[in-house]
Amino acid sequence: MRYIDPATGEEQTCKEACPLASGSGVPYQDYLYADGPRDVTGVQVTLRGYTGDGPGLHLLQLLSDGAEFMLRTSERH
Amino acid sequence: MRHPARRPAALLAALAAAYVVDAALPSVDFERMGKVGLAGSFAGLDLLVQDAAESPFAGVPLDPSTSTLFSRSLEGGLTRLGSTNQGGAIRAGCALDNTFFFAGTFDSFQGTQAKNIASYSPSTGLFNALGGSGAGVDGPVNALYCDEKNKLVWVGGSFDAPTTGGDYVGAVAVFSPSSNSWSAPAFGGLQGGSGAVWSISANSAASSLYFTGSFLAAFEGNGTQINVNGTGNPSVPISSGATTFSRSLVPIDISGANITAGPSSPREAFSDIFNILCPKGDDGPNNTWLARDGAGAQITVRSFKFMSTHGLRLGQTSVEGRGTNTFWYVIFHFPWHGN
Repeated sequence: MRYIDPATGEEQTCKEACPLASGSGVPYQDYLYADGPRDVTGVQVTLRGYTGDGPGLHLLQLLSDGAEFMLRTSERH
Repeated sequence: MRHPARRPAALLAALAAAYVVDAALPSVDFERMGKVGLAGSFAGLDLLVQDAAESPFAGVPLDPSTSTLFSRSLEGGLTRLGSTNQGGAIRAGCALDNTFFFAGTFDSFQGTQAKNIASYSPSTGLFNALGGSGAGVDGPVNALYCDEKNKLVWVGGSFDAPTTGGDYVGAVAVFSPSSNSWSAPAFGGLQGGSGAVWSISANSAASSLYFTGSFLAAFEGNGTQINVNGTGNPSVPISSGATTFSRSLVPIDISGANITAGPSSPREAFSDIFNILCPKGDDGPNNTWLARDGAGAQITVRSFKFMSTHGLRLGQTSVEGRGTNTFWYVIFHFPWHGN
């Protein structure tokens, strides 16, 4: 997946273990599929490394552009 | 009016001379009417001639309490195809391949039971309900869009769902002629406001659809101050973790999906995973999900429909010095069973 490293502003890629920046200064980070949109029926996020007493999240969203996900409903048939 | 008739009185006179005026036509005293303007969307004016003798409508007067579907020949002549039940109305229509879809408010069309939407096949001359005998949608339809590329008919109106049932948010449904079946759009539908769609149109590339009407479509940020840089999507706040694409990406509503997370914190204010799909406030109680102390955790989202996704948006927590450093990500792309 492609993401922007908030510390450097540079695009990075991650394959298995993806980093999430620590601290409250970054409202969110986006991780985009390197090969473009994927048709999915679900996702699984495994929180592995953590700081403090344990991991957690303040926001979890799947991203779509409105145009794509509307017109791809034919996949359902 | 696209092609305004500059001299309607003269045109009407010419047409009257060309046709034998039928006795059933209303006699209008044009002298007493003075100047008459005709407004609407039309390309010409013609007097409605009686249906041909071989037509099933020969001699049957038009019933103004119904709505009637006509076909127009290349020469411009109109042929009556059928009418709604009394009190019915046709509000929208579109053609896909060799079938014409039309909709509005009706219970039957030319004797065929159909709920607010039906199709007409010129090759067979038959009217059909969509999705099964007598089927349709459970409320008025205002807009149709025939998606040539995907061979789908998008239906918008003030309805909840197709009469065939299923999981719908409302106001929008998608009909597939190839399978004669209904489905909900990927975004579920539209609700809030009056819960009505009034028009559906495509952008010039036919890659996006625009819906207008009375509904609420709210994609909130994280509830904190939303900064707008002038050109971006105001619903997407600035983040140094945003990509160059982030401003055009919107979250998919997955609140209806099956979502499990665990092991969760035993504290109630931090154990509901649904709180972080669209947090109402800052990182903290009821706006953050925490794992049980001293362990990793797994969050699984199962949707019972295919979603086209570009990726994932994660927001860090810093509650009590906690936080996620690394995560693994797996996507599923097979239908779930047991729904």
